[in-house]
Amino acid sequence: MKGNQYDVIIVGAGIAGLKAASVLAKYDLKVAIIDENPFLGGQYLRTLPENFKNKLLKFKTSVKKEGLKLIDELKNSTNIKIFRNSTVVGVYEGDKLLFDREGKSELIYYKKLIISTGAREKYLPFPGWDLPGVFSLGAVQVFLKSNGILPAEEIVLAGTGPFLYAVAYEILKAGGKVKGIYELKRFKEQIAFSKGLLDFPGKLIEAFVYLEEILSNHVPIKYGWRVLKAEGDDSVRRISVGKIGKDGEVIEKSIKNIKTELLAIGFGFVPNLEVARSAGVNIIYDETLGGWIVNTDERLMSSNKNIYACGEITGVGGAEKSQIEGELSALALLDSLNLLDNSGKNKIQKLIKKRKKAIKYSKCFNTVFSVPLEFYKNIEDDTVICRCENISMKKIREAIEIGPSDMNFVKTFTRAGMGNCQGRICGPIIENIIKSFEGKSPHPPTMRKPIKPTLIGNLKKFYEEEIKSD
Amino acid sequence: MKRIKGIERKEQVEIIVNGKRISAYRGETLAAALWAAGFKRFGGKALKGRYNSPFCGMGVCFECLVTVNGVPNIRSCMTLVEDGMEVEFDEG
Repeated sequence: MKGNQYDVIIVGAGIAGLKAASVLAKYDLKVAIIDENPFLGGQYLRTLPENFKNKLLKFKTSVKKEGLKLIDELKNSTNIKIFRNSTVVGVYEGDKLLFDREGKSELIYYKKLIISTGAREKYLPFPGWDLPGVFSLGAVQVFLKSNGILPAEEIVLAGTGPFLYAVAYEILKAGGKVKGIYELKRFKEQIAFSKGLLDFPGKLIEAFVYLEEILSNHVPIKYGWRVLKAEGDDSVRRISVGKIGKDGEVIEKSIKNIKTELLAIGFGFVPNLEVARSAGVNIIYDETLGGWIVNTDERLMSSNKNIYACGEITGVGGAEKSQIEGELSALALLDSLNLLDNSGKNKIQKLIKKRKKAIKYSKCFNTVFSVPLEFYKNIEDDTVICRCENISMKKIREAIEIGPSDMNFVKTFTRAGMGNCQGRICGPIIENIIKSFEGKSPHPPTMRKPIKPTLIGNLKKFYEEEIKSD
Repeated sequence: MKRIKGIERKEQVEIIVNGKRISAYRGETLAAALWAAGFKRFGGKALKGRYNSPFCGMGVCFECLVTVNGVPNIRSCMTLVEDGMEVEFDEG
């Protein structure tokens, strides 16, 4: 086998990818795992750099403990090639994958591909959400957990979902102040979530650990409140929040201003489908699983028999689901190569059952913490939707009014989604805006490679080699 | 913004930001080190009427792009600091 050919390539070294790699490492296969970050572990397993002495967060979930162990094992494994700092540019016909590393592109070939590219946060835009000092919840976590840096002394958190509490806990542990948590959903709307937690006692423990810290620090938590705007000359200085009335409108009297230099927002998660879509596998829409997801069978094989998908891209469901699916996809792949004995085959059946529980939790989570569509419909005209190209709600609304309710039309008509992030931030927002007008979620826009910005010289070299090999 | 107390950091490095020397620690991302040093505006004003700044923190939004050692459009959130690294962007 040539140097750049692998039996299996795994894209994404978060929990799902790591777990898949750890299963495959026990077999006589040539495996590569590729990740964009400088460190293994994806978002959930972030830790401080090795040369820092970590005295920050003592509490670790069982999934996290196992994940960190997997990273150590993988680093010492000889039959798994690790590509860090490596951004996938596209998966191409002929079972090959192009990626960029330190400004240079490389081409590698696979027999089987496992895609575990995780999820990113999604947003509900408001005036000023594009000011410096408005962070995603994830960005605050990255600063704290990977850098040991508190992005501001005082932070306001807003959006929806349990991630708010995890980030609040981490800020408090780091010695910061949480000036308030503004959860969009009302408390009683969240009762159904407790049912979802029953199958995962670990999550319940996690919730108590976070809440104890938050409550004992007297952090104000408001349910059924939302951010209305962020203001400041060149960065955030103050925000306005308000209580949502029964009709969905904000109650005028409730509106209050809060001084803050950092507002962190997050409104749930959406799967990172770009690598999978560049590989041409089928996607389906399931609102209860986070929107558009990769369509797989119960063994996580996609519409292409050589491509498996696991983790958040088959349904947003958190670390436990990713852990289960990482293992399941790797075992199913091994089974397709006739490499599994009976105990391995039995394990697959067990994991399929476990996955069903995880999916149940996932559906509960995504349903309880979904943002009502009328909030998207009622975004003010001047609010920026596409941050890269500076496209306002007014333009998006115009496009929806005059043209087909289609992501491609909105994109070509407005330029929204044509910037550097390639629609990763505004895409899910525009999808919800269209859905709020038309009642149906549009298909994502046509996928074009490169799926992340690359140097034109790298592409030129790639296509020249392609032509040569034909 | 501050470096959290109680963490022992080793290997201090120096980066050069728009000609000024800034200290940071090995292992930190460039975006975090810049933010900790008080930089909030990462260009963009002339084009869009507002400043870019770190937003997603994990390589998705491309709003923390800077020039590193002469190479433009580098995501500072995905780049680790290195001693002597030269960083440029329009502070406005």
